[in-house]
Amino acid sequence: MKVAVTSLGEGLDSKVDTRFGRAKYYVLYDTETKETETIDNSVNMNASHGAGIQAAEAVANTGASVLITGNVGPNAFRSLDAVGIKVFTGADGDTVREAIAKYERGELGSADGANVEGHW
Amino acid sequence: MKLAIASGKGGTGKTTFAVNIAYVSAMRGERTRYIDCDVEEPNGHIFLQPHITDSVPVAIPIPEVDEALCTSCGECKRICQYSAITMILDKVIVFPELCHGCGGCALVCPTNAISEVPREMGVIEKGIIHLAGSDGASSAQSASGDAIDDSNPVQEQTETMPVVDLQAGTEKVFFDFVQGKMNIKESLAVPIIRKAKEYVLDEGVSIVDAPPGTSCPVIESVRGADFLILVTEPTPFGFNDLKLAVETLEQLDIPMGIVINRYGMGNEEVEKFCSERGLPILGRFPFERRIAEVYSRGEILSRELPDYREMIESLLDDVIAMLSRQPSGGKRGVGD
Repeated sequence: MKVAVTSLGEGLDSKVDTRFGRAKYYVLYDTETKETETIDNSVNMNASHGAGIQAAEAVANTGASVLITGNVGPNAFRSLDAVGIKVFTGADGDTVREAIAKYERGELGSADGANVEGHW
Repeated sequence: MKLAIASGKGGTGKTTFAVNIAYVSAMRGERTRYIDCDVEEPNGHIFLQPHITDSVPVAIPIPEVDEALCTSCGECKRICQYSAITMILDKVIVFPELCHGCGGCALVCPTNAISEVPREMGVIEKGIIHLAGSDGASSAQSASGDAIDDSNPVQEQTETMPVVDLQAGTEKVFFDFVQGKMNIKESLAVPIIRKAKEYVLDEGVSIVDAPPGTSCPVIESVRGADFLILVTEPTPFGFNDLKLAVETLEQLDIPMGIVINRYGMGNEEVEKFCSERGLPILGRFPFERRIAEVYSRGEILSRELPDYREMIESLLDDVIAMLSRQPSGGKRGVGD
């Protein structure tokens, strides 16, 4: 299973980016193979509008089924939810590695809706 | 005559002038309609106190997808500039509040899976303005500015007012009111403004009160006017936004003039700019406490302050004179 984590840098030791749509990068982690991959989100970061929707699409296209981030807005949540990606919020201040560990231990809460307004 | 009032900067007095020009025009016996296009926060009604007679919802068409017919081809997503309809993996998702209602997705859908359904985003309200009974008209008369005693309305003020009592089925209306109102949480003003502007009169005087700023809602409000009045104030902020407004709105090729409100404060930059650009200054309205007091009571300045009314009269005369000098078909060029 693939887990996507919003991040400020590349790789497992960078900090989690608390924004979803305008996150700098997405770090992908495969829980079976333990492989990681970093995806650059600079295109969406500078989008004038629809960043959350386009980011949701980018994450969906990676085949991830779980997203870990700090906050997620209404349009992004609807997009992720529509394709069955589970959203876990509240990974503030952690590195990507710590956030994934917390997720695997069941310490992150699964979001059942947006936790911030759009354009947050 | 279609007269638009805009400003660039908010709070310079657009609504004050729109209301006062409309009032003076109606008092002259002209068929007059005040149209509030500041649909995010229409406030001309505070001064004009219309009796609302009609309320019409404004809706735009948004897509509704029949999943049974959808083949996930992605054409709708490719045409939408606002991500209002998108496709993630093979799922089509609609975001109604992002939709501008262009209908492009329904047009390009090869399987006709998209139909359009109305989404209400605001309302147009119509009403009649009663000029009769100048309640408290005496207040401004007192030189001291002491306006507490309204018990004795001054006779000579009321007698100049055409009394229009618009009880059921009586005389023809000559002063009325239209305002667009956007629903809370909406972000698209233009469709509501476009609807409000359908009420512009073919004959008579229409006063369009535009929103502040220089973006689409202002363009939509001003478009089609015979003359544009830009209200500014002689401050660095007023000047900065006046420049932006002039640069934007002169693209519309509408003759324009400038009103300087709160004259006496700030600096000379606005005057210098107007003379450099050949923009006629239609009036300089003083920054005075008595004006602010009448305004703060929600009263119409030209009803309460005779000298203010004279200034509005001469402003209106100047605009009419400029328009009569325009070749019909109106190219911009007043004063340049």
